[in-house]
Amino acid sequence: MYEDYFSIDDILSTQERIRCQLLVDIPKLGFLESSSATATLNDEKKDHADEQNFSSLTANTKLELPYWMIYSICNCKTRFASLPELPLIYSRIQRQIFAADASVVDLAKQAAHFYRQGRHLLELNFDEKRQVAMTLLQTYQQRFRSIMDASFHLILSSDHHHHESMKQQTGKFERQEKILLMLGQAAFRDYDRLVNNETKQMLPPKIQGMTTDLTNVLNGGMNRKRKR
Amino acid sequence: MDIDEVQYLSENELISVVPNFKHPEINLIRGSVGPFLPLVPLQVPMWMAIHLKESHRCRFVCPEWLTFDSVQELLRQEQQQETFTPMPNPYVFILSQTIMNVALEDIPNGDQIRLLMKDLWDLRLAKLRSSIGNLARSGALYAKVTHLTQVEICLIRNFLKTSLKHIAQLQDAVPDE
Repeated sequence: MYEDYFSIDDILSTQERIRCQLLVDIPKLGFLESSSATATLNDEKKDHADEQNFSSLTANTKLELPYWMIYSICNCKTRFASLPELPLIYSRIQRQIFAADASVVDLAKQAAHFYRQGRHLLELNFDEKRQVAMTLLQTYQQRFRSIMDASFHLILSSDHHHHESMKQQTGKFERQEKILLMLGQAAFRDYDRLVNNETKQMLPPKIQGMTTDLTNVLNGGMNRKRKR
Repeated sequence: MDIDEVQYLSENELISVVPNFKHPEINLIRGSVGPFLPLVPLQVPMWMAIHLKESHRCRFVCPEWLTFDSVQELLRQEQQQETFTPMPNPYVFILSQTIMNVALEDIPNGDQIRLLMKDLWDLRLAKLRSSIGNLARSGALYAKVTHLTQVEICLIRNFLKTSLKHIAQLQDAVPDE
């Protein structure tokens, strides 16, 4: 399910907080109840813990925990918690918006890891699993066409007018879609090099750690020598 | 395969040239290139032809698929069919580019052929885009496409691979009921 331990995309997409509901009493973790949106379990909580030291979390309290924790406690044999509601982007209202027209939704702002997070969520048990899965698939298929159009048009950085309109379109793509865009554009950039006859040019190797200014100075110095 | 590799491989294709010098047979690893006699056309690999041309030792003979009429015929066929038409050579676009760069004067109507080639390329690219779009939208497992040149395959390979992977992952995640 996870890509690999160090995958940045996985780390970012699994640290979003999700609301869950406890099914059993948990002793000694009463301080968790006040931690909803702020960073949890840091030093100030430890001070509180001296007072609420041995209070327990009662069943049916709602907590917001990051996904990676919920995966462990919702799926093991003795289930500590269940998932009463999904994050907002996967709710029924949003799903209807996606069904109507998926390409206008600004995924970069609302959920930059929409697909990956959705796939992680589908590992848990909740009621509307099939609908969420179908929404994910159909959203991707609908947005695919605009990704393809954007990536197959090579826009030079000097062409400001087109640049702006492209930025507007691609500003709505989330992370996975942006990666796809980069791949397509890289392929077309290569083809452009072929057409402009640049593939046979010998370029100086990129020297690690040197800025382009320094390499220009180097090249300029060499040219001066030859003129003598 | 990079576009650089495809270009490298395309230079292995044979082409007819007319040398203006005399030289006995040259034995290469891949085969031998016949004895060079002035004004006698013979087939050489492309890389050798480019080298000879740039040192002014030969003249190119226009290959049959690069004449104005045959390119026009190709374009017409491509416009009629919805699927891709077979190309005379798997490296048509690269080779035509290379030949134009090196030996423009040897090809009659060179500029017009260049324009026709560009039209052909744009047409095939448009067909590619619509067929990829259909593939993604329908969510089919595979699609069969024939008669694509190496350059086009090279262009869409990375993009198509990654996007199909994403679609497959999302499809797998749908629970069966």
